[in-house]
Amino acid sequence: MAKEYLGNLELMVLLSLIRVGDQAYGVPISREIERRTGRDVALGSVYAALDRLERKGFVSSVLGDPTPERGGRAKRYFQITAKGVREVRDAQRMLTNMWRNLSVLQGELV
Amino acid sequence: MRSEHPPVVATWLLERFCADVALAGDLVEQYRDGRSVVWYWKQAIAAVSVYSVSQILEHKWLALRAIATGFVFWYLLNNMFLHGVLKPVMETNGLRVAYIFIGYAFWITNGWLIARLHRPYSAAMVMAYILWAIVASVPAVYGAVSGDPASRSLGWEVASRIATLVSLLTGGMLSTYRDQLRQVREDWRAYATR
Repeated sequence: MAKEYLGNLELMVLLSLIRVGDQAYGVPISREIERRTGRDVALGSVYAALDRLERKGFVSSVLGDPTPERGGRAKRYFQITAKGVREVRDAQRMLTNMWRNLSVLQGELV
Repeated sequence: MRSEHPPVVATWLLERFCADVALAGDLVEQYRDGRSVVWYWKQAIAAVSVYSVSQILEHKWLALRAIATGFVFWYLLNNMFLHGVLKPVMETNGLRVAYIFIGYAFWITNGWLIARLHRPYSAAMVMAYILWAIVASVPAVYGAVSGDPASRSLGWEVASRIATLVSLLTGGMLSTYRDQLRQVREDWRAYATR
């Protein structure tokens, strides 16, 4: 079966999961992406990406405590798996290789 | 003044159309942290759209089946029975309002049936049919806009199309409501046995 590559948002979500650590749920993950990229991100898109990543085995999740400030709704905590970490490393290696020696990006042709 | 509680309708839509209750909780938490009503609505609509579209793309054949189911139901009940049999009888007897109500009741039933036959992807499949219904209504609305004499007035055309979509959505939601409750109960059970 052909290897599936990570999408842009999926990669950003995995990187924020690593940055946020143990207490990673929807709100801190999306805030981390917004803080690092300077772009607004819809929570729905973050959850859709997390759902895909969980089905690929790159992320696992557990349901937390329901809290009053969330109207009695539970938090879902996400964690990157070993397979997910390997995938991020692969993506980093691939992108670094693609970036290497690109004269346009080094400003030579500008 | 800004209410302490997030918009009820947006939360309701979110909980009916998105499988993960944690997402609604995240939005409520951010709203109580100071986000605006407009932000909440935008996030809720984006979440419902993203979730439905991703489910439709992931289950393309099921989405086609949902559209076919809705189409067959529409053809048999709305087109053949309602327009062919009931309309001539009811309109001549001054029962036009009752005729319109029956029409929308059929649309609600259509939404309910699509949701019922396509579990656990009910909400997304109802959305697939709604998207189809929007596309299918383009010629009629275009006819009204361009002043085609065979068309109804633009206001009537748009109002009746919106009522149709709301009826489909209502039927779908009536069906998904029980599934949603069951999901909440399962989540609670999973949390309690942890």
